[in-house]
Amino acid sequence: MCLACSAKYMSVGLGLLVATTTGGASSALFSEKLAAMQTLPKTTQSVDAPELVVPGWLKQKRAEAAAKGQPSQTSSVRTVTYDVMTKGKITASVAEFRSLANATLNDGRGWSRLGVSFKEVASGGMFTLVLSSSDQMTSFSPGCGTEYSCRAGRYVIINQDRWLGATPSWNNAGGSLRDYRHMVVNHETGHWLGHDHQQCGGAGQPAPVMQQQSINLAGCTFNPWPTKGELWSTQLGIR
Amino acid sequence: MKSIHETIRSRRPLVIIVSAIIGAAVIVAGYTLLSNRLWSDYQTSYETWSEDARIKAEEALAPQLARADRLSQFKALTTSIENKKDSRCTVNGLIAWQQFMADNKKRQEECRRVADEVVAFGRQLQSAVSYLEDDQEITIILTDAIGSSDKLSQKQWVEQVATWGSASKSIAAADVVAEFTEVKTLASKRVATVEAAWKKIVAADKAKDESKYVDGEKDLTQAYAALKDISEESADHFKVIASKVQTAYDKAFINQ
Repeated sequence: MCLACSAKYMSVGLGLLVATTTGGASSALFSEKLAAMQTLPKTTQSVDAPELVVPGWLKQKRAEAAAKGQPSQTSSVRTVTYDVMTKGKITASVAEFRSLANATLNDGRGWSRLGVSFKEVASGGMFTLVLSSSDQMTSFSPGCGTEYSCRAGRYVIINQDRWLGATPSWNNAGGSLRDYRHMVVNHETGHWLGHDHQQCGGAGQPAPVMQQQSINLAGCTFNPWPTKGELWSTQLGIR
Repeated sequence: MKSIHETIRSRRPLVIIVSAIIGAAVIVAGYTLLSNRLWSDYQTSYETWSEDARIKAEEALAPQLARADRLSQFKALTTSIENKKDSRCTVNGLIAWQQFMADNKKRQEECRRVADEVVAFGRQLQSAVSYLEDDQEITIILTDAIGSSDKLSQKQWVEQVATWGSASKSIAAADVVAEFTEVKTLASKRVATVEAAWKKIVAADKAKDESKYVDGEKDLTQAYAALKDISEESADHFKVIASKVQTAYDKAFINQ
């Protein structure tokens, strides 16, 4: 009987020992795994309004206005100007870079929520958006490395290697190149707007755009857009 | 010489007494061993119960399981914990009178402590499960409303008004747990804003009013973008719930 008891105790004891060691390691992840079961954050994190097929009457009206040389109707918001340049050997499409960067900056989910509109100008913009080959990154500042994108003074520099292929950790986590491009433009512009790096706020939460998502999501979910808490800019005096 | 039979007969009372003593000793020894066994089983039982609960909770999070299966395993676990919470530390009637002994008293106190912590974990887990069920219900409503079309013509704009109106009603009708109420309220507001933007577009189109149409387009972009707030609100609320589950988990299974 006591032999049986001892065997039973030993098995329970061993079980508890295993639980304390293996369980200890996995327990840190219990709440994270639980948080990953949420579906709402993923569904509503980044929703684009559908494109509207321009109705015939409007096409006609706009054509008539264009013929008369009248300006089209636009809203009045504060404008932030920027110019675009490239540095080093560029193989990516610069036209696509310009177009996607402008669309990102003016996207309704992005920094335009500060109540600003970003306008590309030929020169003399408030900041310069740069598409740079990786070997030229350090020419902007010793603080910039060849691996990632960077901001140095008025220069918001996108590393061409990252623009073309994102980062291994981003790709391994299943992120899309389109979202990476949104994220990197918003992140580096965020530095120009006055933001420092942020940490993941908690497992399963959308990462702040100022988190270094290129390197590690740290339990957060992809998020290419600034969060509510990030909608401020010391550069523009918006709090 | 007396025969053995005669000897026994002459000492019969003594034999009876000795036999009775031996018999009683055997019974007492047997009962003592049985008691030890039952108390050992008592201790093993609650330790195993706690460990089983931890294993089942971890198993429910196995990556190969579908979300619905995980939720159903969690529910089975929390129900099982709740059902056994009162009987968990009941002592076998054969040894119940020994409860006053120091060692046994300690075992019972330990059993009640373990049981309380496992039950607390089960309740926090149940709260998370309820939240995740509401999260899923609202997700389904929103996913249906958002749809998959990225380009919509005039004819479909009116349908969009109906779609978002219906989503608004479904969200309002959703019976959610207290922890989810604020997310539901925000979702209702954001969905109503999308519906209003579609109405504006439809009205502008009907009136062929370019200015109102441009405004409506702008409202629509902002309204869809603002759906993101639901994501942040929900993540913030669940962060608190998940943290409580983790604390209860650590208390029940790790920091014993």
